[in-house]
Amino acid sequence: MIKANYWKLLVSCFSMLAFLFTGPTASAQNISISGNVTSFDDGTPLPGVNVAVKGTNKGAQTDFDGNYTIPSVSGDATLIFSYLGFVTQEIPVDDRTTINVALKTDQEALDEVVVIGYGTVRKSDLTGAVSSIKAEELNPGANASVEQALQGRVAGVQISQKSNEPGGGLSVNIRGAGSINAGTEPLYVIDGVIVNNGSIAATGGAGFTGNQNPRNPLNTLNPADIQSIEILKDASSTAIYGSRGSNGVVLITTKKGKTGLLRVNYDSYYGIQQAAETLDVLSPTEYQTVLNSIIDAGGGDPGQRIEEIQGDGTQWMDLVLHEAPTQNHNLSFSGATDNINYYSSLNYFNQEGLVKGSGIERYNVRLNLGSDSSEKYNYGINTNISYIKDDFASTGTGINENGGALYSAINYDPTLEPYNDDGTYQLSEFITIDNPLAILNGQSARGETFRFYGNTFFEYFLIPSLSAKLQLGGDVQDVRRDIFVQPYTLSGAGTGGIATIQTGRKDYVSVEGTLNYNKEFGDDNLTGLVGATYEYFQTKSFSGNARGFALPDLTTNAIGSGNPELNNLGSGRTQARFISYLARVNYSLNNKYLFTASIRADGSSRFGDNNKFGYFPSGAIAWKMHEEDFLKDNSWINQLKPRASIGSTGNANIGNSLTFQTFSAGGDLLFGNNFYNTIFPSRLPNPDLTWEKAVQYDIGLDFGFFENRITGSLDYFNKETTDLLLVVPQAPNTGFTGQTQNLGGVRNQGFELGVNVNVFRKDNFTWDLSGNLATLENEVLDIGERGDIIRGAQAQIPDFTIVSPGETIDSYYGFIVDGVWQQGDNFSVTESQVQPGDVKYRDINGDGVINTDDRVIIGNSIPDLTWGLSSNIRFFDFTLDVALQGVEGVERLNGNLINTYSPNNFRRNRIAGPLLNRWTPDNPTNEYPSFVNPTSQGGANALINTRTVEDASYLRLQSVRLGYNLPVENISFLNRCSLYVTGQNLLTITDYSGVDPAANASGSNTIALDFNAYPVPRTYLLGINVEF
Amino acid sequence: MNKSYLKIVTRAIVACLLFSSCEAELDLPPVDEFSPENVLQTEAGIESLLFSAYANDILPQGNVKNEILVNEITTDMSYVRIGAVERELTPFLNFNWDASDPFFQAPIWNTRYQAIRDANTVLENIENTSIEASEQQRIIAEARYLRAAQYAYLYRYFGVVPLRTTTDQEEQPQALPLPSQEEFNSFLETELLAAAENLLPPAEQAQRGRATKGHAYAVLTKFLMQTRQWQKVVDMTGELMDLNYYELYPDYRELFFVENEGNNREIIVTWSYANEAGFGNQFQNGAFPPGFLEADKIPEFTWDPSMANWATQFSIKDGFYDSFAAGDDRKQAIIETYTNRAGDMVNLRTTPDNLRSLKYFDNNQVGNFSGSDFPYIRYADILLSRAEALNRLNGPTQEAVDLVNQVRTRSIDAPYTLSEVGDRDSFNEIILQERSWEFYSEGKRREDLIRHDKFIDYARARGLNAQSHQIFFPYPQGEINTNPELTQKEGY
Repeated sequence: MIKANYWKLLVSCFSMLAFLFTGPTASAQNISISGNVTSFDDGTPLPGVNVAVKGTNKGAQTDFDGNYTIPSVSGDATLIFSYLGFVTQEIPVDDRTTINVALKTDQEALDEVVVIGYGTVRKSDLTGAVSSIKAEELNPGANASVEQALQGRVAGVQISQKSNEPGGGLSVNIRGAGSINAGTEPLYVIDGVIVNNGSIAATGGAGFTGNQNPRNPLNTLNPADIQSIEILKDASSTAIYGSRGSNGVVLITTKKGKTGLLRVNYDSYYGIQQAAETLDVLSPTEYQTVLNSIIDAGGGDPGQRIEEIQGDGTQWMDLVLHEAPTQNHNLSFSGATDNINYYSSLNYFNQEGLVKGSGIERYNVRLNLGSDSSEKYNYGINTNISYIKDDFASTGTGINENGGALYSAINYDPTLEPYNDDGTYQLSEFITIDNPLAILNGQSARGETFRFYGNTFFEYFLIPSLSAKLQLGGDVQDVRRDIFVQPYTLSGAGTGGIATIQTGRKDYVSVEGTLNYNKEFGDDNLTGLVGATYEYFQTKSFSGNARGFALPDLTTNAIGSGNPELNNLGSGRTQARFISYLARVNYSLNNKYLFTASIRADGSSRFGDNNKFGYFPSGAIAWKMHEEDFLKDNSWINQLKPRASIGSTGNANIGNSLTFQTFSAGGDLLFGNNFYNTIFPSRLPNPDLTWEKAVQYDIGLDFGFFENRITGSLDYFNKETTDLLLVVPQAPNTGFTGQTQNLGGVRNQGFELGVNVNVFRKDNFTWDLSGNLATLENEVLDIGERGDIIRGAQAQIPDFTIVSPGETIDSYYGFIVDGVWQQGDNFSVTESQVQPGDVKYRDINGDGVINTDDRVIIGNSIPDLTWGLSSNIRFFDFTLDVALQGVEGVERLNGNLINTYSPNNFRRNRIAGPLLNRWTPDNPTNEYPSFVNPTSQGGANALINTRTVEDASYLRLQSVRLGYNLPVENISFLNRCSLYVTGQNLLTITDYSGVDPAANASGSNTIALDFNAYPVPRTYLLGINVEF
Repeated sequence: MNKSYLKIVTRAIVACLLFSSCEAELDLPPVDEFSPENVLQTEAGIESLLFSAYANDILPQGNVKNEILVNEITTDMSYVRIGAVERELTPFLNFNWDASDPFFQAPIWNTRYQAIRDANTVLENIENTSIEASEQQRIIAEARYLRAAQYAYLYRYFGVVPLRTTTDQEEQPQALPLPSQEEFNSFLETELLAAAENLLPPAEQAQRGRATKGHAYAVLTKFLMQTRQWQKVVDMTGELMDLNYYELYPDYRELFFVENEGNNREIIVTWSYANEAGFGNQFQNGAFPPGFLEADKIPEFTWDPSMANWATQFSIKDGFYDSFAAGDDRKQAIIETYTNRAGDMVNLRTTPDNLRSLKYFDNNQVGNFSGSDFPYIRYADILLSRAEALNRLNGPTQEAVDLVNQVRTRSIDAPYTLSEVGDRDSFNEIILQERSWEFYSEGKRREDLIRHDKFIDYARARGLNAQSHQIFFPYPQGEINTNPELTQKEGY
């Protein structure tokens, strides 16, 4: 026995220290021990409990009835009983032959279990980079979705709210952006089922300028239902998701009932939101003075001089925004009996938007049932039903007559009064922008989303260490949007109103069969997993619009009341299938050396005929140094676990039909007054098309010092994505401008540090600090022969980002501004039309002309550094939670500043600062130009320059929550009652001149443009949480 | 009981593994697109594909304005100021455009080659269909006309361009060299003449805009003018006149009214637009002056708030306007004063080169979209082309003078006499000037000046640093980058 132990130690290259420590001990008599292990709480037998003989590799597991037998054990040995989620017990044998044990559940130990793909693992046994967030660590406050609640909490997960409208879209990038065209959003998995994310109906209707960022599809998950979130970051943890793992994976686990009586929890808050910041545009009198003096200086249009201000003029933004209430009610019932645990919740969430006419309302029901009995089977069902009413204000990036309410409020003439004498909305003569109030009141867009998702599983234990599990998952999302544009608006005027109804459905079905093996061999542990999955995706959409409403009263409720000759219809349907096989092995040697290997094979209808299946292997090792003898007695090191992993993942978000040669319906042909259908060859198909491939390695260290009062992880990662989905330009003489191919590469690398510090740990005073910090270096490695990709154009803003090897993806690309041309400068080096007071662009190539060749990289939208810091203090019955979050080393293109520097036409309002401090002969500043001659140089490309691309680093005091737990010990029916006040977005420190440095109107995560950003809501909440 | 569970689970897992091993499950062609096996066998499919070629032949919405502006602001005729359109077109005002200008790529080059692709696909597949023989002949003729018409259009901008005559990239790889000028000329002539044979006579064509014999002859005439094949111009205009269909519309301004689009025999090749998103003509939005309500010269039209009036200003230069004779009714479509929405009279003359051509307007305009069709080639052009070719061949003749007068006297009762027009050169001048009065805001000035070798001189006279190679535009950078057999035009 002892020799065998030596042998094993040697063969396994164990350290000599360990060898010495486990040196020979004497033993006289060997006996056989048997017994029964039960749960202390309810007395049920526990199968699969590890019973180990301390200091040996001998041991056994309990059977289905909780019984075990270990032959030939020394009479003075000690038995160790360990079981996931229970307190480990050590019991000396003392020559007994029967030892029965009742294990107590261990709340702390339970928390140590983290969910990984297709399974769970003890946190201490993790080999990969997985961040685990518990419900109570999420951001407090009015959060419509899980991502908002997660913002700033996890190292290496950059979450920013692209639009601050209620329920607005977010961008989530885990470890940077590894794709140019196939999306950088992570994969979401709720209770083991992949979420078919993505919005269905388009964001706009005919004549309506919708936000380009669709509302967040995960608004359908009530954040209060979440038990924990695991973020899989490195390849060893994501490779099990194969061709969908390369952007990282977010595993969401919802709550389950806990042992004990029925618990009823009611949580509710009510709050008020106000705009934290609005754009400071010229006041009516400033507007008159500034514009007239620009005319005097030879700019503008003399015919557009401002002679009078009607009344006091109008501050349009004040009419568009309002203080908006928000409220949330959450009622949950949970508990567990012998065989069944249950959790159910009802949620009502309502958030009105700061822009009048926008908002979100959610009704959500969840029911989770599970059987965790000690029988040989296990089953469960999780369902989520949600109904969401979205109210959309017109806040998109459209311009002029297509501009939304915020755009119009920023640009509209402040010297006008809102209404004409007859009560109609007053229009400006000089611009084709609709009156902001006409847009708000005359364009209505509402959406209804009904979504059901859930899963049911059945697991059967063939033997205690081997189980077979079958899981069925489904996700059905049904959306209808109704949009009506009144005839009195500019966009509805010509057509007598426009009604649009869009409907869509997204279906997802998955079937998953797995075999799980879990067995302890003494100090060693082997878990294995093999499985196969089948998935089907379908999206259907229908859209119809009608015009010519002589009687617009019935809107979309009677779309047929329009002029039938003006109707338009459209529909679409796409589908995809995935068939996958997966396998994983975890081996823990002596509870010190951890090995993980996994592989997934993914087949998909999206992949070309020549590449139907992809294989995604990974491997990881970790070393629990703290279990080694040389550290075991160390007083201050509690955990020290270096780990390393490498693996391959993919991004299969490559479209459903790019490998097929087909014909598509084209735009109609007009002969005279008649329309005819057309079809055209859809594409140059690519039968070789595959997923994007990512290879990532990760070196990390998990640590815990001073009785685990300081814990955390440090990681370095390097992820190279290759075979990017790129549209490779084809010679246009073929009639095709591009073919989608796999090509090129992007690398993301960086360091991540997450630290939790338990500053105080006294009975009545605890203070926890947790912080995270991540650096990110993103570099495009290669995009083939095709040359730089310059892209991103929005309405009248030219392409402003570049994808170029050696540079950050979608770097801003434009002119450097050196200042302003001054009187007395040498004008011979520039173009003849340049005047003093014009912007001085740097003539990079010195050819005397400012043109496309003078563009250089002037920033990028990916922060070099993201960080988050939260502090949780409990002092007697008071709690104070503060969350800060920030980014450094990031730029943003400010579209409203573009409009200020180069307004589309003269009689528009602009941001006040630059105009009030503009260059004049008497104020020869280099800060701002004269605005007399805004288009003098560089054409449209001049809009993108080092003045309009601004530093967008910021620090945000995201939330502060002060809570008070009422003493309820004497009230028998109450378990808890707490009151809290929360403030959100109380403070943002930034040099950025727009209203929100994180705003992005482009609809993409990496092509970032702030244009008419929806104001950041500053929210004050009052809430109560009661548990019976 | 345990055993039965075991069975169920095992079976389920086995089933999972089994069905998933079937790779046919992974073959999922798109259900919202047509498979070529089905759609190209039918007449409806072939015709829809042919219609795609037509749709690509029509200038895309928003590009009518560019077609007009690029061909006129580069000359002595027009100007553009303010707004995004000015930003886009500044290189054309300043004669410093380059191959990367987006205007050359998508709207001009790409859509034309897409029309060629569609036409080639029709030609390659039509034999496999069961379409009746004479119908096949007509569709083939339309496809050949459309293909050749694209090359003729491209020639106006770029000169000779690569001739793609098949979609088969084995036969014609993407790296497609330029043909010689002779090959190019002969291809167009052959194709258009062949097409003309089987195209419908104009009188029999019920669909306005769909190809007729007149289309083929007119496009060829214009191409022959560009390539200065004068005798052939005379022949081809003769063919066209012999169709005995086309005639001048009695009133110049009314010719362009939306309500007269279907009932005139002057416009030979037309591109249809409608007051609907996706199909509108947008020239007038930039031509309206600020706050425009109405103008005395254009009594038929009153602006209303449902119509767009863009920030950008498309204008007519004073010098050109002042060149009109006093009694010439063609200048009635150009306004010098207007009434604005406040009811005030505004004089456009206070700003130089700020007059407006309101040749195109539509009282039913909706937002940005007016239904004014674009008259690509009209009979007046054919008559003046014939006159010019005759003069180039033989000097002034009564026939040529009569042709000019036929167009001129519609608008001003002051016909030229043979003696008045002087020699070949001075008559050439007269014809060029007549063309400017006749065709302003129709995008013809640039090619006319080039044909008269004045394009560069005029630009230099405006103080611009114009170079002789700028009579053609550069091949778009996107084609240069991807087609190694194509070298950029000299000078670019």
